[in-house]
Order: sequence, then C-alpha cells, then structure tokens
Amino acid sequence: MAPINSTPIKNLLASKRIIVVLGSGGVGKTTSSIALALKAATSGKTVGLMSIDPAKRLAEAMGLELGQKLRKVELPREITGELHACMLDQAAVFDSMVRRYTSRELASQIFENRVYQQVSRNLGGPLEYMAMAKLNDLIEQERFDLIVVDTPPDTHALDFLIRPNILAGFMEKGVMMWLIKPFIMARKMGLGRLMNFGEKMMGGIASVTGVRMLETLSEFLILMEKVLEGFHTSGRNVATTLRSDDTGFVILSSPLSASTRSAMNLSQKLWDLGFPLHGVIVNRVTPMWVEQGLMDYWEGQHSLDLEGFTESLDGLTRKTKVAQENIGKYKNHLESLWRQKIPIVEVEEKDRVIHSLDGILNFAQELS
Amino acid sequence: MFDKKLLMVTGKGGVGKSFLCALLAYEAVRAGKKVCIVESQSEDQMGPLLGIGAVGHCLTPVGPRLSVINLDPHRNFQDFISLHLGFPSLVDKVFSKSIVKSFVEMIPGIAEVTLLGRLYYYAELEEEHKFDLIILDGFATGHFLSLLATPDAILNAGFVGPVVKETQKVKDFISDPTRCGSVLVTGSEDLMISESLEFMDKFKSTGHVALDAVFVNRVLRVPDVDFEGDTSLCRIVRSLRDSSNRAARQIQNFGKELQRKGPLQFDELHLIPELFTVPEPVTEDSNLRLGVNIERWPL
Repeated sequence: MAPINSTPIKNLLASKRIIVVLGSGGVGKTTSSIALALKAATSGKTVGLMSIDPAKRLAEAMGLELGQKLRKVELPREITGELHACMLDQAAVFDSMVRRYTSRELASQIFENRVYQQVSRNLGGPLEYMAMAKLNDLIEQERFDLIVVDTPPDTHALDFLIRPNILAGFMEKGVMMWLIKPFIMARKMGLGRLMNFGEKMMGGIASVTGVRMLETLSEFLILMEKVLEGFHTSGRNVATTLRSDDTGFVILSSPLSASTRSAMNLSQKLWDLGFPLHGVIVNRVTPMWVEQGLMDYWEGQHSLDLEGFTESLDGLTRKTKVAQENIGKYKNHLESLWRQKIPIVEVEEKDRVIHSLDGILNFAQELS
Repeated sequence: MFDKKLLMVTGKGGVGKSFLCALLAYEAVRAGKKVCIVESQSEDQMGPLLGIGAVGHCLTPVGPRLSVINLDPHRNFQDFISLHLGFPSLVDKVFSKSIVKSFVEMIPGIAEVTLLGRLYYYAELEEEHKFDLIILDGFATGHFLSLLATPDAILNAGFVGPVVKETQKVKDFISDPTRCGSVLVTGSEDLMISESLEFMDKFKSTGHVALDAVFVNRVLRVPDVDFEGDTSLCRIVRSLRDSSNRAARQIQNFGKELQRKGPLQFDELHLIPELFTVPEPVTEDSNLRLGVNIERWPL
C-alpha cells in the first residue's frame, strides 16, 4: 500500500530551498504541491507556496485562501512549521514591479497608458514574467526555508523556465537601442526616409502594423524601459537560482497514456534545457487491492452477480494493464535521458478527489 | 453545431479536450464535411491521438477529409504576414532577422491574435483545401478566456493600422454565432462541475462567443445494486456503484444550475461514457457516436 520509494521526497524536502513542480493538467499538480509544502512544514520548516494557476476551488476547499498576498495557512497544532501561500495575480504583480522600478511620476504615467492597461489586465502572455518576478520576491524575502512553486499546466510550465531568455533576447540584442529609439527619434524629427538598418527594419514592421501602431507600441516600451530592466534583473536572479543546487525539479504524472506522453515530453524538454530532475510522482496508480479484486474476477473466484458491471471491470483491467506499461515506458525514457535512476514515487488512486485539509495531510503522509 | 465554420473546444487540463475534438471531427466527417483540427502547443496531442505521430507546424492529412496541424507561434506569425496580410517578401527581409524576432516576441498578445487570425484564414479565406469546419483544440479554460480577450485588448489599446483592421475582422468572425462557436468539456466530479459553472460566468462576461454544447466526459453508469461482503472485488464493485450514483447526482445538479444561469443556446448535455482507457489511435471507426452511445441528457 505504501508508496514504493519514499526517501527521495524526504531528501528533496530536506536539501532544497526551492522545489519546482511540473506536470500536465489534471494530474493533481496543485494537490501535490500543497502536499509537498505541508510535508516540509510538518518537519518544522517555514514554507512558502506559490501557485501560478491554481484550481481555486480546490485550494479553497483545503482551507487555503489563495490571494495575491502571502497568507499564513491555519494548520493543525501538531504541525510545528509554517505554511504561507499565495496565488499569482498578474495585474497586481505588474503594478508592484512598476512601482518598484520607476519614480512615482513615471509610475502614474504608466498606469494611465492604455497599452499598459490592456497588457497588464487582459493578456495571457506576461503571466510567466509575473511568476518570475513574484518568485524572485519570495526568494529575496529570505524568510522561507523552502519555496514550493506550482507551475502552470502543460507547455506553459516550460515558458516559465525559458521566459527570461525571451526578455534577455530583447534586452541584450539592443532592440531598444537599435530599433525602437532611433525609430521614435526619426518620427519626432519628421524624417520621412528611414536610413540605417534598424530604421529599415522598423519600416518593414510598420508596413504590417501601420506606423501609428508601431509608434504607440514603441512609446510604450520606452516608457517601460526601467520596468523591463527590473524584470530582466529578477529573471536573471531566478534563472541563477533555478540553475543552482538549491533548486529541485519534480514532475507530476499519471499512468494514463496522454499524461505519460506529456510527462515524457516535459522530461525531454527539461533535459534539453539542461535542468536536472530530482523525482517523479506518478499519481493515481491502481491500488493493490483493486488489482487483487480484478484477479479474483478473472479467475472466477467469486459468487457475485456482476450483471451490468462486466464492462467496467474489463475497462478497469485494461486501464491497469496500460498503466503498468506506461509507467515502465516512462521509467526507461527517464533513464535514457539522465543516464541514472530517477526516483519515482507512485501514489495510489483515491476513490474521490481530495478536497479537505485532512485529505491532503493523508496524501502528504503517503509521500513519506 | 456542425454547420459552423469554427468550433473551439475548451475545458480544464486533462479532462479530455483532444479526445472530444477527435470525436467531433469524425462526426463532422461522417456528415460529409472537410475538417481541420488546429492546436498550438509545444507538444503535439492530436497527431499521436489519431495515430499519425507528431506533425508540428505542417498541415497533415489524417484521411481524405480530415487534417491536423500544430501551429508554432513564431512560424504562424510569419505565415500570418505572408499568407493573411499578403507581405511574403517582408518575412525574408525583415521578420526573419533575429533582432526583429526579439522585438516581436516581446509584443504581448501577438501569438494569440495571429492564432485567431489563422483560424479565420483557414475557415474563410484559404483556397487550397477549402475546409468546411475548423476545430480548435488544447486551450484550457483560463488560457481560452485570455485568448478570447485578446482581440478586445488590441482594439482597446488605441492602435490603428492594418493589424487592427484584421483584428476587427477576426473579432467579428469569432463573435458571429452563425459561423463560430465553442464547446465545453467537463468531468462529473463536483469540483470539476463547480469550476465549469464558474468558467461559464467568466465566459459570459468576456462574452461575445457562442457556447454551443457541453459534454460531460467519463460518465460511469452501472446498476444501483447492493453488494454485501468485504472481498476486494466487492469493494471495487461498490466503489463503481457509488461513483456512478454520485455522477448521476452531480449531472442532475449541473443541469439545474445551468438552467438557472440561462438562457442557453442548447437544451441538452452530452454524456461521454467512462472508457477507462482511450482506444488509441482514435479512428473513424471508433464506435462513439453522438446520440448513440454519447447519451443526450435533456435539460
């Protein structure tokens, strides 16, 4: 019944300062992140939990009121550590970055800018930058023994790791200096003809966007220059931390074929990006007693009238078989990548979705 | 629903969006339509599910009347400029330069609006394949809402120019209930259902896109009988029965809540049976049919 291998999780929680939990949607990523955080709190640590895309209902049901501000979670008395949790609020983090990196005057100009209002409130893209900034904020506070990061599902999880590179490209290739500023300068001076390489490029872009739109965008980016530098700095700090030995990576998966495929892709990309993988949690594995029951069913070791149930029992059997194959496949895949054994913890499927603090404490218990 | 040009399928991560897309696509193919499934993810879901492996940014036929593509945002942006806006030479001269790429990557919402542009292009403008129906897969609820909010964000940012004109066209297209709609897929667990109801509120408030149908996936149906005994098999059977009863109650409540929210553009739910494993690859011969083993649940 107990998960096969449990010390790796304990070791991970004991030795790392940051744990990044990755996984596709619907495999219990938020639940597991909370469980990991609770587990660490149980051993007396002060833990910060940041959820980027939480299933809000789920968090609420577990007594976690996730808000943009860090909030201390009420825990049973026997837990000696502390858990502080927060959820990412894109607009709030964006605003606080603006305040942090600009003067009051510039900040109010930015807040009134229409492009800023749309970008910070209504667009999905900047979420990863905000996650970066928020994580940097948590790291800088230096009050946590451990920070657990529940990443966005699927492919967006990796955006979170590579996002600083996109900003880095923008900052380091001198887009501002070679494209944007000369363009705005030329516009201000009323130069109709665009002379150098950068200006020609902007001319090309303008024939798609229209000059006015390019101008609005450019002015916005100039207005945001200091804030972008701020994001760049926090991105660099976070990138350094993520690359250090202080950070552990955990992938969440389930034995279903689609989740296994996602987990394999995720592992591949993590490896391609040069990150280590410290553990895999395969959630919703068929419990032993179900396997036992299915065996009795197939061997005819029962006297039950199973009319109306055979289709489901056949389905369960199929599912169990496919699950074993998938776990095996995934194990081989992991070993072929990292050329070493990656600890895999299997957690049994529950009858019902966990939605209470007690439930999750039990779940956390299963991880150890 | 199948007379529309574009259907966008959304739902929580892992709930079975791709599987439903495949079912809908084959349903449309059987009705004589030419269909294209579009996704835009860093990993292909659709190709592997349909048994042809990853296809990437390449329109690939699965059968005579079904194609799939997994759009790469950057290449899609370039396609948008050359195919949709009609500036092929600019791609080489300007947009393939690395400094310009770095600039373009920084423009927020660009991937979303060019994706919608691409859907519009396939549905309305493209001359070579002339698809009857485009199905969009892979946008989980939160990301789907920001996708739909993108045209408005661009239109409200005070821009003018060709891109804005295209964005307006794209917005008109996705807001037109005769040409465009969306489909929600959910599970029967109570948390999943309350999240779906929450989604529908937000969806309505960003609201200009039609919601044409709601599917409940993995609905377990077994007889409600008592089993005495404490063998493992008894436990399994009881647990199946309990799940089945719970699902029935949840769906009942879901239906009531939906009606309370009204007005709806549909008067039934579709219940996809629990299959335990998805029979991969999903093919045209797959025996799941709307109204046959995908049960209609009248509201």
